[in-house]
Amino acid sequence: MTGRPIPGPRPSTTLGPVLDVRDVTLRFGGLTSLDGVSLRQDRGSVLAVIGPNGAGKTSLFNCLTGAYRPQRGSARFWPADDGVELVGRSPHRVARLGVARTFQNIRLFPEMSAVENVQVGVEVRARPGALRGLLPTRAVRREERETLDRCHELLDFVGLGHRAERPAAALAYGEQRRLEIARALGTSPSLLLLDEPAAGATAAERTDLVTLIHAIAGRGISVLLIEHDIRLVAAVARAIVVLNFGRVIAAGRPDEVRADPAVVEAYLGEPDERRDGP
Amino acid sequence: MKLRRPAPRRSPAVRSHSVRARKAQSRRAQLRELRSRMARPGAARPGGVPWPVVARSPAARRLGACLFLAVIAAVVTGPSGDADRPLAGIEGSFTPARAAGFAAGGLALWALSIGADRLTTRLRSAGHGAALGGGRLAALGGGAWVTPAGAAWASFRRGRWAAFRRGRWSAPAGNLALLAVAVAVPPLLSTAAQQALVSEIGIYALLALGLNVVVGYAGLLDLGYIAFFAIGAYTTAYVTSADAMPWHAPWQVNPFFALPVALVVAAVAGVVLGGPTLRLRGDYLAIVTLGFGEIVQLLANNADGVTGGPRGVFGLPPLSVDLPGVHYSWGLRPLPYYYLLVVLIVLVMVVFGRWERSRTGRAWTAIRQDEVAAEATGVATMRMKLLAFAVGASVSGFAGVVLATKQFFNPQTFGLQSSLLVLTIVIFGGMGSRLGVVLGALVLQGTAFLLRDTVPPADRYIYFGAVVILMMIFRPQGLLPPRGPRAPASPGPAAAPERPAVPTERAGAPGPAGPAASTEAAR
Ligand SMILES: Nc1ncnc2c1ncn2[C@@H]1O[C@H](COP(=O)(O)OP(=O)(O)OP(=O)(O)O)[C@@H](O)[C@H]1O
Ligand SMILES: [Mg+2]
Repeated sequence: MTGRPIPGPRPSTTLGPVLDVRDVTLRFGGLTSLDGVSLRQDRGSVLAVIGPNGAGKTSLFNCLTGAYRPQRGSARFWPADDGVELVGRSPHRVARLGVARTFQNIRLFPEMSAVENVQVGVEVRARPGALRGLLPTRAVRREERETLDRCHELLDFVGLGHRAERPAAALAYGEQRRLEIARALGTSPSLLLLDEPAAGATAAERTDLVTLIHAIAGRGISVLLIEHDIRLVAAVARAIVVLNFGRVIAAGRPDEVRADPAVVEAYLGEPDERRDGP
Repeated sequence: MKLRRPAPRRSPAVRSHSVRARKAQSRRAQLRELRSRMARPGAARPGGVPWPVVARSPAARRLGACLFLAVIAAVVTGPSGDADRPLAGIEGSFTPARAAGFAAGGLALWALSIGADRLTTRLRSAGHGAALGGGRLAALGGGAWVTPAGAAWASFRRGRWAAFRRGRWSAPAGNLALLAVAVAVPPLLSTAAQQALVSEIGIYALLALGLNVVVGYAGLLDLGYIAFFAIGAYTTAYVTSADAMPWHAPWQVNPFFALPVALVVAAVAGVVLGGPTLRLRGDYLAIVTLGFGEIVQLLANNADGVTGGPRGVFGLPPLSVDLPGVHYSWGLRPLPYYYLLVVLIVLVMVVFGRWERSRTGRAWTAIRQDEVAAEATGVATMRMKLLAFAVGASVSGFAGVVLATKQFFNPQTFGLQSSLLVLTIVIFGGMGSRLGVVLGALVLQGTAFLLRDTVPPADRYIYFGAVVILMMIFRPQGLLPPRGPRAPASPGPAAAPERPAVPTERAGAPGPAGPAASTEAAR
């Protein structure tokens, strides 16, 4: 890749946190959807956020990515050795800093082809200057070629290489989810937020997803994952944070969390499987 | 749909199931199309199909459209009323004999259109069948008579024509042919027609190309677009003439230098308007831009001391080249202006064509299709929207220079109707398609020119309205829609135009009021 002015994907070799959320509180009028949430994620790790419906998981993602502005709290993020504050930045700045996300309700660019969807993400790291594209100089052509190569590589990575030219809207549901992941990876993130990537997935797709998440983590990208399926979570995440009514009610290793009485209570009458299935 | 050709060899149960499934699928596809179209200007409209339930059946919809057209035709061709009896015109238009006549005409049009449709479907399906399985379908009987024709048609479409269209030289060749026509034909026309080619068609084609960036690429509904046209024209007046205006710039320049000046001034005006307003979405943006257009027109009209007021502006020097050895003035004849416009239009089309396929164009498309996702993917949506606004505005400013050097103008030239006219041209021609909007200007404005003697100017907009409504019903993507993502490379029937797409789950996803929707609301 050519010179990029923005901190890129190179994971720092030093260990330490990639994300440190402190005391984030988000209210909508009288409704408190996040209430003093704190969590910490190690660089290169997979951390899962679970919790019943309406617990505030997506709200947390929206606060981290700049879509919502919490009333209180901070979220420090370490793209490299120096940390930056995420709260108060606009979503595209957050994305350029290296935090990418997918959406619970798939949000692709439906009429663009799969490869163009990814291209939008990859080109965010291209040299600035809207006028550069006007003159097809050799440098511009080479950049375009490199961009396309990278897009195809990412599509292959998520298993969509053979669908590159299809419009996104014409892809199957599971393929659309994977395309969203490829688009997010296109921005060269150091932290990837996945909002229920397995919703509506078949058993086979879940297995593939586990493999994919391992592969993403294998590239040195930290993954923050919202997921209801506790078995899938246990298969990919070393640590889990449980939210309920906007509060962190438990945190720890999967087996610890599963045995936690508060968690059992929160999920009583609401088995893990509730939102699963197509 | 009882006329469907019976498909032999299948059990009735299977058949009825598949027919129903196919119908449901196509209806779903239509609905989806409609939704995505409605969502285009960037606003997420909360749920709901914006079309009355009765109108969902294509045949019924078409009938309605034809009757509607008949009503309009009846009103337009009928007598006109006057201030004392405003409804006299309507009454006179619908005497029993006339009403019956026009209703019959509407029905006939409907029957004709349905019949034509049936025929093309049959031709097409026969063609597919033949292309797929050789003569098997024909051997099975039903519809054998159309098969050869269908097969010929299909092989023509997929064979040589498709190969030609895909070919490397087809696009340049087609464009060159169009350009040759555009260059060669106008000298043969009457002066009045040449005049119309400049001030009605050419200038509006340029305007439409600019608005196409805003509406077609970035999906922003701008109803005050004509204001930038005005800004370009008045800027030209200020910098090229010392006596046409009550006030003028300290130096006068050759009108050609007004081009870059107007470009910059209009672009700045675009940024100034866009800066605070582009945070608004959809309808709100439309209303604010509408207000902007009105303000500019009111200023032009009322600030007598600066703009000359309602008298308008005349006596600006025409475009001219004064170089050592080369002296040429565009003068008063329309033809030189026409060729200048052709050059400008081709230039703008070439530049935008590059832009459209570049990173910038993709970012605009992304914003148009899902602004929240674009922003989350790192696209600086605000900056890109401002850029679209500024680019559109500067093209409009260009058009303003040509107008100002060519002819007299006054504040009325820049009314809301002109704004809507440009928007109509863009929608009619095909949002996002450069050639489409230019053809749109040619067809719409050309029709208006041809009808100028038979239809009073006030009625022109009735026709425009009717044309646009019909267009939205029968060809919502416009005259010449932009090419979408390249079709899947796999050969065979998968490339057929109507392949049903797997539904995007956006509309029907679990928990429709979920966080993705609220993200939209929260910002
Ligand atoms: N924009 C908003 N306006 C008002 N309330 C909101 C908004 N966004 C979220 N909420 C509320 O915040 C609470 C948490 O919602 P959130 O979407 O974060 O839950 P979740 O944990 O992601 O649930 P699910 O498992 O259903 O996705 C809910 O009560 C929701 O109604
Ligand atoms: Mg959620």
